[in-house]
Amino acid sequence: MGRSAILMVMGLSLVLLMATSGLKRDVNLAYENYLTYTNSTHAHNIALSAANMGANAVFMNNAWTTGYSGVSYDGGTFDVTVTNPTANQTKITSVGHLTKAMLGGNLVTINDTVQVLLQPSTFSKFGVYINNMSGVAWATGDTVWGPCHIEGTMNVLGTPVFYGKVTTKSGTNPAKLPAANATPKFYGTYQSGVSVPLPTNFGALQTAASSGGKLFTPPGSPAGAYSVNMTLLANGQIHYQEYKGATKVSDVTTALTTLAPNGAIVVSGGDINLQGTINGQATIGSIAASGNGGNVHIVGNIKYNNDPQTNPASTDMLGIVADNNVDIPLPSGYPSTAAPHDYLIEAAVFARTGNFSAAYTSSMGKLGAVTLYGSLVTNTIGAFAAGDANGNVLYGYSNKFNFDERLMVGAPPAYPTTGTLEVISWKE
Amino acid sequence: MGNSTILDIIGSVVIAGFLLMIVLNLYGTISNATFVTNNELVVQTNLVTLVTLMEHDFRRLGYCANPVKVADPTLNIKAASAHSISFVTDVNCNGNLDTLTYSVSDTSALHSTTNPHDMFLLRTIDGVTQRLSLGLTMFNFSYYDVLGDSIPNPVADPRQIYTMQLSIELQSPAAYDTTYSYAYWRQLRLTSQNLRNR
Repeated sequence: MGRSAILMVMGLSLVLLMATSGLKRDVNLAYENYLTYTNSTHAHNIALSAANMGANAVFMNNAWTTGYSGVSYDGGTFDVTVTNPTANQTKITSVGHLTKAMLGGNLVTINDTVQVLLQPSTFSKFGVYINNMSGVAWATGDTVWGPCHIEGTMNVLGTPVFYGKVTTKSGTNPAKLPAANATPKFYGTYQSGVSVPLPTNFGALQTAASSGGKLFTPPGSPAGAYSVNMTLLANGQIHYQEYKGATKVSDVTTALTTLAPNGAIVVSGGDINLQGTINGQATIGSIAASGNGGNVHIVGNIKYNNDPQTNPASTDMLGIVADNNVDIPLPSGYPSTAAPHDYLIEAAVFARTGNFSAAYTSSMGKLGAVTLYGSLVTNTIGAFAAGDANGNVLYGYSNKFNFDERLMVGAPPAYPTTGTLEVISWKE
Repeated sequence: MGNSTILDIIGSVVIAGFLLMIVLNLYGTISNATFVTNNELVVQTNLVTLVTLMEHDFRRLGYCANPVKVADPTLNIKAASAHSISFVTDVNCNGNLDTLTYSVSDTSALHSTTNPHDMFLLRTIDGVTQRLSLGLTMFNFSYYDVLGDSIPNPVADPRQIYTMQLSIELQSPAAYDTTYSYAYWRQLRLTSQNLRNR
């Protein structure tokens, strides 16, 4: 009997041994599974951190290609390389390495890669850019299409709607959103602390105009203010007339690509009177010189020959750039010549030290809308009408700004850049 | 063969009975432990598989090898609700945009397990659906706008989404008695860098 009891005990021990071994194996497998996931996440986080470090270095210095090699970080190491896959693109490749001992004691190295693609950012990507809002606020009824940037504090009242990414340098007023009197709708994210200052000049555009484009400069005589009337023609030509005072000094019709093969057209020291339909691509700018010029006056509709509003594949693209103001003046001969009822402007508009506005007077009454289809960069907010306390137009024009989505990835030739890079693709 | 012998036999039978009961009890305990541990291993392995797949996909939300094709990052999420999300991505990194949708089936659709609560996870790429049987019993999204406010489900305009929270629960395909092993995973503020590009 004693012998059989011993046998039972031994058998029991054997069963226990086998069962606990199986249990231990399952527990170890579960732990190792968890460990593998944790280590992969750890390696990914190292690669992610390194990509952010690399991106920061590139943002601080666009020419930075040094990279990092074998940098110890958070229990692992990382390498960062910076390359230029195309002339204007920068690619950051970050690889995180993590070596860890698994349960059996064997070392396992996990590598994880993050790739970031950047390209220069142009001002035309902003649906609306305002350097200084002064006391004006985005309010209920306002809808902003495309990215919006305020290089200062963004005033908000009621429920304006922003469909693109919104960035500000100095946050919002009220500072904390949502607030009792401010509940904006952000459909494309919001980020504060982002500074994109206006350029101090249009030197790069002027350089492009003088080498491969067309640079207009005032002739020495006759005396008088210098200006250039330009009419864009739907057949791909441009008709321009230079004036010095009241004297016409040139009258030319030529192909846009002949006048400015690279698309950069600049009047230095004179204003531009612009209208017409563009067939092709150009940036037309007025740059102040010796206190003269620097304004673009829009004297008629400006349209694309192939309208991107109905054909997104259109390649027609226009930039209108002014050191001072881009404005819609009262027509010559007003009031004998009535002011047009509506204006359509299809272009990326840039008023560096002034604003984009329309002249208005009480005698003109309510005259429809100024519709801008493109992008607007302005130092301050210009007026288009006189209104009452409720924002209703008393006389002048209402305004509609619609973003040309093509400007998210493209820009008119030689259009001013922000001097920074933007992330266009992030691969993890 | 006296009284002591009879007592020995009775004693032995009693002791043997005790040992047998111990063995049977131990067998039950070991069976339970083995079943539960094995279930937990299966559940945890499935969870890691699922989470790894989803993290991979969500990190590439809005990514395309040809960035021109995702010009406006606000349009990357096409639809979102409590139990599903649809977004653009480039699954094969070949420069072609794909639409990836995560959703779940009804619990009655998964017949191959005895668990009445589990369902298929449906991963649909450009209309082609993969049905993943991983013991999924909960798959809930919550969405938040850029100000951190919760967006009601279903999301009327996916452009509002800035971050999202995903809660997943997996259960074992079979129960010991009536108890299913389960594992729970919640990712707070799950998002993609590509929602903030440009």
